[in-house]
Amino acid sequence: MMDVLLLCAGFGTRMRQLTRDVPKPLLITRNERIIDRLISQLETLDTVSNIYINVSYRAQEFADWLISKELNNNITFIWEHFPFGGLKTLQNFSEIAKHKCLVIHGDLYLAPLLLAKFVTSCSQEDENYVGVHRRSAIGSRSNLIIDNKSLVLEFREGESSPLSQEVFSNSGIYLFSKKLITEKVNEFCGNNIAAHLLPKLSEQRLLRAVEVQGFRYSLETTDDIIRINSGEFTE
Amino acid sequence: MGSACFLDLDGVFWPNNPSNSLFKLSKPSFEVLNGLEELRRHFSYVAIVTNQTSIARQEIGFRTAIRTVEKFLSQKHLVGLIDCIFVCPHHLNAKRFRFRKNCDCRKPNPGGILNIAKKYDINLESSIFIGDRITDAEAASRAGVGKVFLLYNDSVFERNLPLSAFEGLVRFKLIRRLEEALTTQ
Repeated sequence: MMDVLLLCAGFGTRMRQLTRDVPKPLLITRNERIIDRLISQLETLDTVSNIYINVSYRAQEFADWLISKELNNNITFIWEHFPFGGLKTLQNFSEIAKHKCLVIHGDLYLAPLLLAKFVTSCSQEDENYVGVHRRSAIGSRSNLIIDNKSLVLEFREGESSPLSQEVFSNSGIYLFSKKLITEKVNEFCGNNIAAHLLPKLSEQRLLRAVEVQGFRYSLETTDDIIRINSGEFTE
Repeated sequence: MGSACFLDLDGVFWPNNPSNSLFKLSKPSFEVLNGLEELRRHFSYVAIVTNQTSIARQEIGFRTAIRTVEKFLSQKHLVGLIDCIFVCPHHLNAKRFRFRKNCDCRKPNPGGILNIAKKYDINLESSIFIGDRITDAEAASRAGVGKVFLLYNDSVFERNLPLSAFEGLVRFKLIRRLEEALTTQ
């Protein structure tokens, strides 16, 4: 079984025009909220036991959203007075994790079967590794350098891709085994998963990159919404 | 060790008319009383933990407040449903000096819940808390209550939340009626 943690606490500052009143995961693209799309994709996975959503910015909007749906008993909110930044959320979450944990950024627009394929691919891996979804890197801020067995040799956050090595991007989708979430996550300090946790995990050779077919898109600017709405990504 | 159902008072007993309903001795709705009966059947104790700033604001005297609480609990429709009530009369800006303090029992602090748990030897891990504000969820999480539920309303997350430095885990599920706390996993 698997617990899912959707990271939805951020301010959405890069698309402030749209996120002044609505948090990013609740924005509508192609007649569907980003978070509804993620949850309907998660509901197709029969291994999901609980879905946790961390909320902070415009948290009441999430409460209104959830109650307007047919109330889903699987969904638990994790409240933060201010966005803790992912790693702190994960450290808190490790107190209650009962199973493997799938961590997903709440602003991702994903191909229908991407999550299912990613979870299946990770399940075939040794439980001693954290699975990180990778894709081809084009101007990514978060880069993975991997060996021929897909083990991450180096994790670079906030740097442009080096030209001399083949690099991949971090997609913002991770699968932690219970062992790693309870033992390893609390070892490291910082507040950001990509900046603080993943580089340490890669140093300890605990991070394995997994690539599966399907588009993955992150909402970063208002143009991204337009691109999705224009049908640039097809099912 | 028994398990308990902790409840907030104002927004839970009178969801649509929360302020000062205790001191007006308003009768909770039929739906709320039904929910309480269901909860009563499942838990060894049903306890109320409430902040009552009207005492600190001098809107009601302390002794009168105590008498009113006693009257409230002895009302016919509530007899046998509630085991105890913990009232925090404190506030940092209380008009009365004796209530002006940064106490550990005013939610989001967990003192009220811990006090009851100690007195009645309650296993908090197997207990639940039902409130209506995020400060209730924080108090319950900090106390170590196993499951926390908030009754949905349009201000679960208050606009002017008291500043808190708490960085631990505050988790809760949203429910629409009290009985849903029993069926929600």
